[in-house]
Amino acid sequence: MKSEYKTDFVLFFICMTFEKLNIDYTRYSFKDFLQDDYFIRSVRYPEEETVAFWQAYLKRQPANEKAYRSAKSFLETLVREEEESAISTSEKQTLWKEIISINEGKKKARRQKILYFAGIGVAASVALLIIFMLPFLREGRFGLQEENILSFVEANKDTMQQESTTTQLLLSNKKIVTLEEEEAIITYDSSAIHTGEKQISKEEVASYNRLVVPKGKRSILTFSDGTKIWVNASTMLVYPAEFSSDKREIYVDGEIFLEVQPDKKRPFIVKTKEVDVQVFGTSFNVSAYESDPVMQVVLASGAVRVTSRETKAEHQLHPSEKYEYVQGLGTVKKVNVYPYISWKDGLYIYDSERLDAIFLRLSRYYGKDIVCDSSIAALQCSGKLDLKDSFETLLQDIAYAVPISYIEDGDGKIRVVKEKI
Amino acid sequence: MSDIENRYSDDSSLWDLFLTGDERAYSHIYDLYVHSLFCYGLRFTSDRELVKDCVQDVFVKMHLNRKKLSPTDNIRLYLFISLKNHLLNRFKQEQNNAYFMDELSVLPVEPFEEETMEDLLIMREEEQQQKETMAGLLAVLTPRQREVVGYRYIDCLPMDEICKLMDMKAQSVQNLLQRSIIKMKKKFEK
Repeated sequence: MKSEYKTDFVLFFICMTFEKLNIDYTRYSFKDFLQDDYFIRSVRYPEEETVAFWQAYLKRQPANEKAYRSAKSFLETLVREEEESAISTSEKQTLWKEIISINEGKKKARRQKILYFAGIGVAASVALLIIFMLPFLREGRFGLQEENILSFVEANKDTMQQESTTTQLLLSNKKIVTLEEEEAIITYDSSAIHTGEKQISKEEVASYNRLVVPKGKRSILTFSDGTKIWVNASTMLVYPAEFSSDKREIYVDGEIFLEVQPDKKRPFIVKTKEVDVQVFGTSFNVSAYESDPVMQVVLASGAVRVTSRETKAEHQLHPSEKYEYVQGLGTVKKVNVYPYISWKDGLYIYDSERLDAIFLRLSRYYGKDIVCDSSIAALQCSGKLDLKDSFETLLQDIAYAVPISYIEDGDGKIRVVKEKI
Repeated sequence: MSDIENRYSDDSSLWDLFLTGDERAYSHIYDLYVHSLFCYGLRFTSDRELVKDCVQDVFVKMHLNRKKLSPTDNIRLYLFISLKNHLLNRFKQEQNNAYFMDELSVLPVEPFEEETMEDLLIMREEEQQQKETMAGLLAVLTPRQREVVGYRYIDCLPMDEICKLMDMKAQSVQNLLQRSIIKMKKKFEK
């Protein structure tokens, strides 16, 4: 009896409070409920009196029941969703044990990503894009190995243009490994090369290896020194089966992102058709398509030096700077880096980019032939696309933002044209 | 309401005990808050290991600096701010986190600029149809929206604390919330 009396009293008191504050609960919508402190608290921390208050309220205002229930279940869903990702008891205990041993000086702070995060201060992220082709490859000026890798590229030029629909790892003239996966993973260790279930002894391998990733495919390559490379679509990568003792050099036509294992004794150099990028640090992204007229180097963090082989001009890049090389002239400016490297995470972010450039990139990712009509080629677009989406979804997303439509030609080509209104 | 006030007054004595070197107070704080702190971290990134790293940093740092720390009557707020700072530092090192792509998060907000801010926000949101790894209702939101919704509906923080944590004016926080509700409502009703 006593407690009943108490409840009634509290209920009365609350009603009084709200009347006083002139809160009109009579026509409350979903949104109104969600902006009401008392409602939120009642759902999150229900108490005897709040439960009673809302019961009485629903009796008085049956018309609002739907909005009330929907707002309540909305809040509960939000909370439940968060609970689902909660830390487990064992994770909680492990973490606590670690904290205690760090406090007692027994252990260093856990850093499962220590290399990545600590290294990135001196690391470099670079994206390059080459659009103009110079007729000849210049002779190297960095000594023997460079001549070797460039002359290897030149000597094998004929065999490099081959079109394939699968990723190919060319280990020697005779040994070609075909990789069917969308994102093939290749790992070199001191004695062998691992690709999926296959394993190839390095003894069977020539001094230079080539990885050719066609349109619509990607690959992740790890070298024996621990350096990791994400290889984008339509990319050819040339590298020694084993790095020499004084430098690590690779050659790229296309786009790659690298996390380079630091090694002061062996600098890491990425060669492209026209420039050399020397990395002082651990991680960077290179995108260099020889078929593109403009080449770009974009540095996320750390430091790199770009040297034009033609003019010998050197540019030292600082984080968030973009180096652009057009017809022998290199320029540097500040940019937002992530859009240039987001492909690695399966995203394509573009900011005021021309439509024809966007479709050129998409045609590489998806392995489709796309022709962009000249009437819309210069339209500028900004946005973000998830490259895991189907190509059709993507086209529809773009068509939603700009007035375009697309037709599929009989020969498999996709023609993007101005939308007819 | 009274239980929240109780907890707060408990907070300052618990914190004082911890500051004087009481290990049990320290482990009690961990027990009390590690769960919500971890969930809080996951609103900024889907990387659980990164969140664990940063939660660890928070507790190690506060143990290390306890002689220098000032009293507080709101341990959770202290922990939240501290974790957010650790996470943001990591993101800065990464330089590619969505939180920083959301440039609005660093814009100072003037009250008379609300309208332009709204326009900007709307534009931003339309651009940002991101489907990160976050699942559920929060997936439709931008990082800033996710943050504010968490404070308001999951942590049930008072407005002044939300403003402090987000470094925004109350009106802007309200606007951000409103838009978040509209977005999530659509998803919720599907």
